[in-house]
Amino acid sequence: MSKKSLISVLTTALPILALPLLLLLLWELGARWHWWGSYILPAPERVLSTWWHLAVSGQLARHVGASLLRVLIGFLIAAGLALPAGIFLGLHHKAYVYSHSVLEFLRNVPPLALLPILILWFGIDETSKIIIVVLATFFPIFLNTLAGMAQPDPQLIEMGRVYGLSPWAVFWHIRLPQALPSIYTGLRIGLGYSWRSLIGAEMIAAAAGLGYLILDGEEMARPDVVLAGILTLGVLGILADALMAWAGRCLLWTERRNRRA
Amino acid sequence: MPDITVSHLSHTYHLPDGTVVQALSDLNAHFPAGSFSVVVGPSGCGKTTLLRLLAGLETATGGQIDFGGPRPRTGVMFQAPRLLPWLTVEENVRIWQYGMGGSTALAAQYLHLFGLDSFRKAYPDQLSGGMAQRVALVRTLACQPQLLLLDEPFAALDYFTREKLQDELTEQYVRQPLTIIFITHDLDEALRLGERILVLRRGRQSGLLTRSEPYPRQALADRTREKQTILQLLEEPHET
Repeated sequence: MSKKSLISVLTTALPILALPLLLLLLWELGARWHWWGSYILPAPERVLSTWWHLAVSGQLARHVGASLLRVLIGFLIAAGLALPAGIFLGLHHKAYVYSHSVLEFLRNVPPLALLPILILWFGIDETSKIIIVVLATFFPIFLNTLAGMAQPDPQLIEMGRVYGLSPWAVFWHIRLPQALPSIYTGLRIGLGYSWRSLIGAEMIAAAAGLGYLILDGEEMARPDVVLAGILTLGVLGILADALMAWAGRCLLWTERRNRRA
Repeated sequence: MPDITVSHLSHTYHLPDGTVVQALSDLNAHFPAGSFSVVVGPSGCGKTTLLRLLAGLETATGGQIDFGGPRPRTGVMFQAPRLLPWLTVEENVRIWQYGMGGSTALAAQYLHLFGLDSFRKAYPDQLSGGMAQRVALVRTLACQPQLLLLDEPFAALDYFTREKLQDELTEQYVRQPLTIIFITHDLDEALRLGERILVLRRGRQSGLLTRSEPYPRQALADRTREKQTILQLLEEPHET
């Protein structure tokens, strides 16, 4: 690597890594100089060693795999329901008016509050946890899709009419592309909500998953396990969001436009 | 394509605050086939309403428009280019392929003719205002219209771009059989483009001028007398 490109990499990486490195340093200094007890916050190397142990023993992969599968299934089901619902209600204002009260009611009930009844109905296995993910993920996707579809540019719609585009062609070639940035925002926020709700559900009722691992660490008085689980969660969240950001850069016309600007 | 006859055309808008606006009131006008008509008048005189009714974008509250048969194949161009920002110039120009249809070969020909060849793969945000409006004009012409309706299409452009686009439009008009109805509030533009200049005031026709000067037309200086005539037609009649 040439000196110039090394400087360029450092200039890019510094703003991203500066704060995490500072926090890590403070954490290390605090643990070393006993600003707090190791039971409250164990030293970074202890947490890393526990993380490594969990990783090589295969435990971490099992928990991550279980959580990822639940998130993936829940997210896909939520998107599969929220996208058509948002599109349909965005195109049909009257239907939205009729369904508004029920949707508002459901939106304002925290999904975790439904867990007891879901466990009664579906038992303690996967279904109830996936339903929690679906409920938490549905609304960000639905509401953003609805907003995107319900606010078309009337001038562009009129242009479509002038050129004889059918209602289907207006939807496919004008309304949907115009709503895509909003739909994408909903999907990106929804993915974050999937993770958050899943961990909550796993803490209440699960035998595997990162939420279970964190709760198990707490019950076994192992703060290092708790922190290893939290760090894994955070890193997975960043990776998932980075994946969504990359998909957005590849697929969204607004992103392409921003790059040209 | 037969002549277009507008008889006793009226149109009323009901605003959300309850106000009723009479945009057109018993308007009678005639647009001969293959003519270049310019409708001129101040803001609020009903020019755009007339164009929207002719384009079928609204239904008149009274009177009728007789196209002498079925509605002709119509191309409409607005003041804003109304390009789809997610499509390239080439894709925008061919948007009619999902609707009324048009000629892809003609689109390519017009892109070349209007100097847009190197912008085929460009997006609307990469174009200047004049370029974007030129793309809109190509899109309108490439759908092979018999009737071309233009609503102040060059109003937002600078003087030089406007003159160039005016020349390009008249060039196309001379080349092919087209009936053009062009809306403007700019008298110089009306005189430069129109064979028939229909003066609208308060939703009615207050006069008609015809001009036979060939295209492309010269500078504006020698048009003062005609300009004065139009200005007189726009003046309120004195109460007696």
